[in-house]
Order: sequence, then C-alpha cells, then structure tokens
Amino acid sequence: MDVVLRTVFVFLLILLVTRAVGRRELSSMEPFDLILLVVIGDLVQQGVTQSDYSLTGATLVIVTVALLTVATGWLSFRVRRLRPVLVGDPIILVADGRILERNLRRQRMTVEELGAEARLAQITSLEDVRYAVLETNGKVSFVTASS
Amino acid sequence: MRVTKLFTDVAADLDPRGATVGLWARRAVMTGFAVIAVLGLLDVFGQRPTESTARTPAAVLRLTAPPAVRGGLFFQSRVEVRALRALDHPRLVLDEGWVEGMQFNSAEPAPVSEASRDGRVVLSYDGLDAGDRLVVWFQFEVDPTNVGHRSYGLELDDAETQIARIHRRMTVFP
Repeated sequence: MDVVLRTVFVFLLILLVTRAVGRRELSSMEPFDLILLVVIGDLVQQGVTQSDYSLTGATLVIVTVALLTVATGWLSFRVRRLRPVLVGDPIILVADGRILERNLRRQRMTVEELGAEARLAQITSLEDVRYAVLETNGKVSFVTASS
Repeated sequence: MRVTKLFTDVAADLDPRGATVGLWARRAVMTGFAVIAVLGLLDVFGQRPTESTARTPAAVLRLTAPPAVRGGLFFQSRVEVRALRALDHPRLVLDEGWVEGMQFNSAEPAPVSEASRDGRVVLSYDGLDAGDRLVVWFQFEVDPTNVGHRSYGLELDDAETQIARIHRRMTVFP
C-alpha cells in the first residue's frame, strides 16, 4: 500500500512544482536544468521505491503513474475549471502589435527573449507580430500581421 | 493539390473500426492498471503486518508479521509470549522460511543461546513466571532473489515440550 501512496504523493508534488516553477523555465532546457532534472529524478526514485528492488514494486509505481497521468488528462478535459490548475492557460504576450510587458514580467521573460523566440519563428521584427502567445507547453506561438 | 501516398496511408490508418478497437484496448489496459493499483492499496503485494495467535493453558503466543513481502524491503516480525504458568526453559522455534533467503538484521532481546533442530532455528530465553511477558523483535531484509512461498511457522517450547504453535506462510514477490 505504502508504495502506491508514496507514488501518488510524489506525482502531486511534481505537478505542484512544475506549475509553481513556471512554463518558461521548464520548456527551455539549459545544461543546468537538465542536470537538475536528473538529480530530481534520482531523489524521487529513492523516495518512492526506497529499498524496494522488486519487479512488483516497480510495476505498482509505473501503473500508478500511468493512472494518475490519464486521470489528470481526463480531469483537465472534462472539468474546465481545473484546466488552469492542471495545465495552465495560454498567456498573450503581444496583442495587436503591442507588447504586454506586465504579462512578460509575470512570466519572468524579457523583450529580448521574446525577440529571440520571434527570430526562431523566422520573424524579422516584433512590429510584424500581431499576436504572440505563451502556450501551456512553454513555447511561444506567433501570428503575424500578414498571416 | 495532389494526394500523395504518405497521406493515403494515414487515411487508411484512421478507419473508425480500428480506432474503436484501439480505444477499447487502451481502456481495458487502464482498467487492468487500476485493478493492480487497488490490489496494491489493499496490501495484496505486501507488506502490512497481520497478527496470528495461539492460546493454550500454558501460554499465549502471538506473531505479528507481514504475510507478503517484496524483494529488498525491510520488515519486522514481532513475537509475544505471555506465560500463563511458569516456563523454565522457553524456546522459540522458527521454521526454515524465517531465515531462508532473508537478511537477518537483528533479534532483540538476543536469545541466551541458539541451536538447530531438524533444520529449524531454536532460540532459548530465560525462564518466565506465570504472568510474565516476553516480546522479541526480529528485523529482516528480503533477499531480492528469494521469491515464492515459504513456511513462516513459529513454535513455543518449554525445553523440548511443545507449548503452542502458529502455522503461517509468507509470500515473497519478485
């Protein structure tokens, strides 16, 4: 029983941490973030399985994680009010060509970073951008004036 | 625009019957997962301890231990003896399954002496008067290669005379 309960706790903890850390940090993986992710994975494994070397224990953990992932997706799909909590909402960064600095600040994102994202989307000037939206997966989507 | 083979293949894969079968297969697998998780919550795969008691006119013998464990896990077995009459030479006789493929970490209090009787482990303790209570804590770790069922019975003897016996089995999951 304990291994299932520990898995549920750690799943909810990771969900909370990812929502609290913010989508920008999690979508842009610097080497430090990658190492941190591996370290967190190792710590999580120790906390969940502890000294359990058994296939039964591993099966219980994997099955529980799979169920919780599906349950989270189902809740997000069926209960609209939970969507901002579970996956977040898209955030508009540029509207009608105007940069919304308050929203950028809330996401700890600079205009330079927004510009870099625009360049990656083959956009030469932010003035050409009609809408820029920070999606729930941490990526920025652009709608240009010409599109 | 011309429809290439790449897209006609995609369209063929989207046939509704195949999609329906796939959906129900996924649902069946998730139901199976849910059953496994519920069984885990119900301690079918270990390792919540259960209690077994044997009462005789001479003593009450109680064993608290998990009936199922998993490889690598630590667990405790607790033995309690309540003497209803004087036991001059109380001995706990452990079935082979107690130590076969188990890491025996400790037994507290330690016995006065240890011996073997037909493959079973005999632990001798100091004499008990009527009303005395002896509690022994055994700490184990499960050897991960030690898989299957085994006898986890326990006997209380006074010297060579059997006073009480508990029949139990333990399951070690892989």
